[in-house]
Amino acid sequence: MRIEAEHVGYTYMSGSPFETEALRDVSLVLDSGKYHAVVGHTGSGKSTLLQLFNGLEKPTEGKLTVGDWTITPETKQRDLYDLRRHAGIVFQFPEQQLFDETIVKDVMYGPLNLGLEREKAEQLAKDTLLRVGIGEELHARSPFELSGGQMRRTAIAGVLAMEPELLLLDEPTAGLDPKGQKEIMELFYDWFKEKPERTIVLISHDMNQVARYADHVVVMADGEKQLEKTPAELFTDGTTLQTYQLAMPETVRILKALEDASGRPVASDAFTREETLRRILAWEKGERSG
Amino acid sequence: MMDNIIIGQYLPGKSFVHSLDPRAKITAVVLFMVFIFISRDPFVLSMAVVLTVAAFLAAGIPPRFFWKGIRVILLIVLLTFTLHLFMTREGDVWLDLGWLTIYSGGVIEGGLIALRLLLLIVLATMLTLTTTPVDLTDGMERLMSPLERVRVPTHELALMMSIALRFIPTLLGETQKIIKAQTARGASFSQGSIWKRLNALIPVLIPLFAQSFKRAEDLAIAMEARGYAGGEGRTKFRQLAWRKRDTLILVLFSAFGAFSITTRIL
Repeated sequence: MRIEAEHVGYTYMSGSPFETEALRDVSLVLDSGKYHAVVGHTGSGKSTLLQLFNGLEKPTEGKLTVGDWTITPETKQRDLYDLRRHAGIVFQFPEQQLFDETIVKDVMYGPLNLGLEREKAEQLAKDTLLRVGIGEELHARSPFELSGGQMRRTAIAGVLAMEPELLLLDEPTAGLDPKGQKEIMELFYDWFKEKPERTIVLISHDMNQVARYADHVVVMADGEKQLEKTPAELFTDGTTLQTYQLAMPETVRILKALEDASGRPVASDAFTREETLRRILAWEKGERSG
Repeated sequence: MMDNIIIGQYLPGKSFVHSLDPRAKITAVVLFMVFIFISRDPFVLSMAVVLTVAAFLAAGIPPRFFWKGIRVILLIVLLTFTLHLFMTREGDVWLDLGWLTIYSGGVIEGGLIALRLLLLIVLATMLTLTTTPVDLTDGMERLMSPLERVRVPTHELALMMSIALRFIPTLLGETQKIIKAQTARGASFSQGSIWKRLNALIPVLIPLFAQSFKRAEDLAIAMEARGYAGGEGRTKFRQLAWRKRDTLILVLFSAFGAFSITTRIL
């Protein structure tokens, strides 16, 4: 699903002493079928921006187009109901939304709300649970008996079972160990690759994740869009990273260190382990022949 | 809508009312509460109105913010008024529609109760808006301290209150987050019959309870880990200071109370 923001602004608690401007004059286009990432510091407005994309919040200024829906400050909540069926959101610590007696029932909640028949919803829930790695033996258990990681997977299944086209991820791996983080991120990536129209917008503080998965990165600061770049452009540009206090992905750091130490140029825009290894091997080869 | 509820909220400021000792403020509100319900005298009630308006002006709360926050609560006042209007059968008949009869007593009784409630809510909101939760509980603890002799656990009560107050914003924030998460999963809280809407709240309430219990446990462990052992022998970092202006306020509200009693007796 394509997203276009035109001069979008958002002010919290307008007209009260607690009034805060979270977004100011944000214009951007997020193409359909791409993996986008929004990065920036706490309070930069990225979470608010994400919640505008599925109509949980309405912009207080400007115009937003998400797929076939147009959202302006005047749009009625009722009209956004339909958009939410097509745009799923995984919040930070999504396990905090689990509530039902059994895991399957909890995952069925979304599909049932969409008006699916019970049997179909149950089948969908079971399939989705298996896909996120929750085995059949757990399906009839209470979600509150699960481990933290399993709860997170169940909650994610609850969102995926609604079969969205647009998936909004607000730091979906916060608080997980590295192995759990990788598994969850791979899960989203596999989902994303399955159909060409599937679109992801990811918020993350982990630049390794952003560099590894995203096609397009938006940098936010103080409620304003600072720049948009591809990971290859952004993460090899040390000065820009420093300006916005973004960390350099580990792979880039290793390759840059190699370049500095050897005094010979190394292409540092590699974001996967395999690609980095290939660059190092290529460098070694050059070293020997040179 | 939830953003706008201001009961229990604190609004930082440097006004006259902000600077008062919490003990003075709490006592004043309690006096006001008791005596406004004792008297029916129009003069006493108008005095109460003057006191409330004066307190509001002295507290420097932005009127628009206050109005937005109190709107929801006004519904309760309105409901009380309506109930009294229909239920009281005293005085002259003012309106007779066959199925509905309105008596003069109903209008007066309803108006009286509504006014008292309104004044009370405004003044009580003023207390929490101008007093930090810490000051509020410190004040409460001090005021209750005479009860310690009859073995009332005043420190524990005050602590319970401060924890409760402390977690109101947290809970509100959490509620909002869960509502958002369930809304994103297709829940609708504003469509369908009342039964359906109540049912829609279950997916919000259960996670909220689950998290509250977990947090209570975490908090207990954190407190024990830092050596908390109850109120005995505990000293306070923040000392309350009673000043002339506090005495003034106390005298003012006591005078109001005394006046209210006199009109009742005479």
